[in-house]
This record gives sequence, structure tokens and C-alpha cells, in this order.
Amino acid sequence: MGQLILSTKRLLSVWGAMTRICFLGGLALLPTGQAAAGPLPADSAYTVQVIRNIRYAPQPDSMKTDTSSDRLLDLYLPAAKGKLPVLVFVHGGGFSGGDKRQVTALCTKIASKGIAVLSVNYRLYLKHHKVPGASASANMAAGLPPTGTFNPALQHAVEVASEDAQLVFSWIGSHAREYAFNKRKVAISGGSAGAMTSLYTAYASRQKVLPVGAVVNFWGGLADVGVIEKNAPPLLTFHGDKDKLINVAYAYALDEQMKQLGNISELHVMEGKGHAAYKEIESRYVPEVAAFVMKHLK
Amino acid sequence: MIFFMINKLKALPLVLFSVLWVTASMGQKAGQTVGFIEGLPVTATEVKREMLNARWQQADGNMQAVRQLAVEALVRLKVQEKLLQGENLWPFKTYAALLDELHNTNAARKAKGAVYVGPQTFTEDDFYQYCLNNAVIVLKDKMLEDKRIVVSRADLEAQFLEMKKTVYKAEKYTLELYQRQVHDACVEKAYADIINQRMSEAVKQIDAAKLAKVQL
Repeated sequence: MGQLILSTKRLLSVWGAMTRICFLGGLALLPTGQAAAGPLPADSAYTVQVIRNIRYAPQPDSMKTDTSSDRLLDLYLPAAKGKLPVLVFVHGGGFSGGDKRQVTALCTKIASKGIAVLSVNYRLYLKHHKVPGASASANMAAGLPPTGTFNPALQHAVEVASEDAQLVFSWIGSHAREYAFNKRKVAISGGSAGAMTSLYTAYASRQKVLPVGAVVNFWGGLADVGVIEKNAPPLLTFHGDKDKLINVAYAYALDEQMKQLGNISELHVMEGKGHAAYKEIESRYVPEVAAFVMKHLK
Repeated sequence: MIFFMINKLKALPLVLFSVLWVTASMGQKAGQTVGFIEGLPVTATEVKREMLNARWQQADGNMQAVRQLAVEALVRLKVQEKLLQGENLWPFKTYAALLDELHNTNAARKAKGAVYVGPQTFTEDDFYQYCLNNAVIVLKDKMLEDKRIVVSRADLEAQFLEMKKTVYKAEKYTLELYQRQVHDACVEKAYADIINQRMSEAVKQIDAAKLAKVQL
């Protein structure tokens, strides 16, 4: 009996240990994700309302019924008081793919800092015009173009996308009162092809729709940084040094040119990171991106 | 006999542990069912997916409100899944099957080693929306084909008048020149009406106790 009691004690002890392991094992099986502190993540200042598929310009005739090339935007609207700084986000996809919804997590997190974020779809020229040698990788993987120009079809794709980004600016202007946008200056950002569009719109397009107050460049580039002028909008760049699609040389060239002209430029070369390191940005750099935008849109 | 029982008892935690582990693994993989919408099972995994979207609307820490927002979102989605299933346009018999497909797709993308212009892997929400939206595009075409959606000249004219109040204000936008865009807008509206109608009639059987256990 003594042995039984002892064994039972041991059994209970083993059982307790097993239960703990079991419990922890159960927890470990849960998908990892956001902190479970409460509905709104701890580092978020504001709730965010997402309004999807707002038409900012007429449905383009040239793209037939391709909804991913349609001129629609998703608006991430923080519940902040007063005039909202505005950031236009242009998704990537090599001008032949991608969608405004693929950056939901990043846009929501930026918006939760008090910035109205507009994630936009735009005409994807290379999706509808298959031109050999026009892809971003064919033009940008090896480094800067020796001639300072891209394949004409790629350049045209950038310009077409920029035209739509400027239509977004028009929409911001005409809806500023409705959504409490601060339209005095706007920020533009994007990843990859979206960053190329943002850089072109801010530094090369000579658009006059709305003044650009800040540019956040995620692994994009300009064919010729010589187009950047003195007093150009401040630039914040993130680029992986192992990017096999758009060479990190584009980031260095932009930063160097901006600084030579006395413009504001901040560069993060992310060690060991390849193309489209969105998760790295979402987990580490959102506060910095938001602070940069806020500072330069004041 | 006692010795035999003791040995059995010693093995009990291991047996129970194994059973619980397997159960937990299966439950996590398949997702526990918290109820049904339009007869389709709603898993805890799906509720959580929608809670992650809804959480941004709730600053006061009210998790129950977030769960309710998630269920509301799921009604819209399940109604569409049901429609798609009826047309053989939704290949996923269970949500676990969709998650398996997501896993396989992401693994294949990684194994391919290609440089992707967007995120290398789909998130659960991205993949679900990607599948649903592609299927809905085909569904709308079918509805037009078999006249479940009909766009009349009067519909076009009424829709055009609505659109003239928005980004089609300029004179250059005429119904004749932009008939395709107006037609597309009519189809979108008709589809939305169908879904809204089905949502209002949808049968929802959600187990409140099970729902309350879904955490972020």
C-alpha cells in the first residue's frame, strides 16, 4: 500500500508535469501571430476603419475587365482627431501583378499611428503588354542601367502607373473635407514597382496636382537619379542587400544624389534581406516610417 | 494485480498526453467548429481570421464585440461560399482543405526558389480572399450568362446618372462611350443586391460558448 501511495504521488507528479507539457504543447500549436493583449495591438494609437474599393477615377478602358488594373483604392482611416496626414501606398508586382489588398497588414499598422493610408490599384501596363526585356528584373537586377534608361516599355509602365497615382492625388484633393485629409502636402510610398511609381511621381513627373511632402521607398529605384532636383521631397529608403530583383545599387544611388543636392535622405540597407521584405518592415520599422511621414507633412 | 494496475497508471499520463496531443493537433489543423452559417461549418480558425481584421475597429478591449464583427463578416463570406459551391466554383469542402492548399502553394513557391515581386508567401487572409475573389469573378459571368443578372437599358441609364455624380462628372464621359464601365457597375450592384438579400435570410447557428472561447 505504501508503494501504491508513493507511486500515486509519483504518478501525480508525473501527471502534473505531463499536463504542463501538454498545456504548453497545446499553446505551441496555436498559430503565432499578434499579441493577445486585447483587440487593438498595444503599440497602436488609433482604431482603423478600412473602406475598400473606392473608385478614385473612371474604370480604364484599356485594361478591359481586369479588376486588378482598375482605379480603385482601399482607405485605411484612423480614428484620430483633426486633419489627417495622408500617405498613398502603391503596391508592387512588376507592373504585371499584385493587388492593393496584399499590403493590408502594413497599411493598417501605419494607419494606426494616425495617418490616413490609401492603398491603390492602378493600370498594370506590363500585364496587358507582354514585351520581352521589359521586366523590372531584366532591367534592374544587375545594377544601374549604363545608359540611364530602362527598356521603353518598362519606362512607359512606370509613367502609366504614375498617371494613376496623380489621379489618386486629385481624388484626395476633392475628398479632403469628407475624410478630414490634410491636402497641403501628401506622402507617397510603395514597394518595388510601387516604389518606382512613387519615386517617379515625386521626383520626375513634374506633377502639380498636390505637393509631395515625403517619399518612402521600399526596394524601388529610378532609372536616372539625375532627374532629382534640389529641394526635392525628403526620402526614406529601405532595401535588402541581397535583393536579386532590384539591385541595392539603386538605393545607394538615390541616397547619394539626394544628399549631394542637400536634400533629406535616410537609407536603411537591410542586411541579408532579399526583395520585398514586408515582414521585416511590419515588425520593425512601422514607427519610423510613421514618424518620418508625420514629421515631413507638418 | 496491484503492481499491474500501478504500471498501467504510470502509463496513463503518457497515453492521455498522446491522445490530447493528437486531438490538439487535429483540432488545430481542421479548426474546431463553432457553428454553422447557411449550413456551412464555421471554424474557430475562420473566426480568428476575421477577428484579426475586425480588431482594428475596437479600441476598448471588448473582445466580444470583435467576435461579433467577425461573425458578421463571415455571414457575407459564407453566403458567397454557398453560392459558389452550388455552381461547383468552390473546390474546398472544408476550411482545412483551403488551409492545406495554402500550405502547398506556399511550399511550392518557396521550393521554386523564384524571386517574387510581392510577398513570397500568402497569408491565410490573402489566400482566402484571392481564392474567393477569383471564384466570384467567374460566378458573376455565369449569372450574366444564365440571366440571373440582367442589365436593361433603363438600368444603364439610372446607373450612369449615379456615376455622373462621382468621378465621371466631366462631359467627355457619356453613356455611349463608357457603356462597358456602366454595365460593369450595374453587374456589381446586382451582385451586391443578391448577396445582401441572401445575408438577410441567412440561417446562423453559432454556439455562443464556443465562440466566446476564440481568442486572438
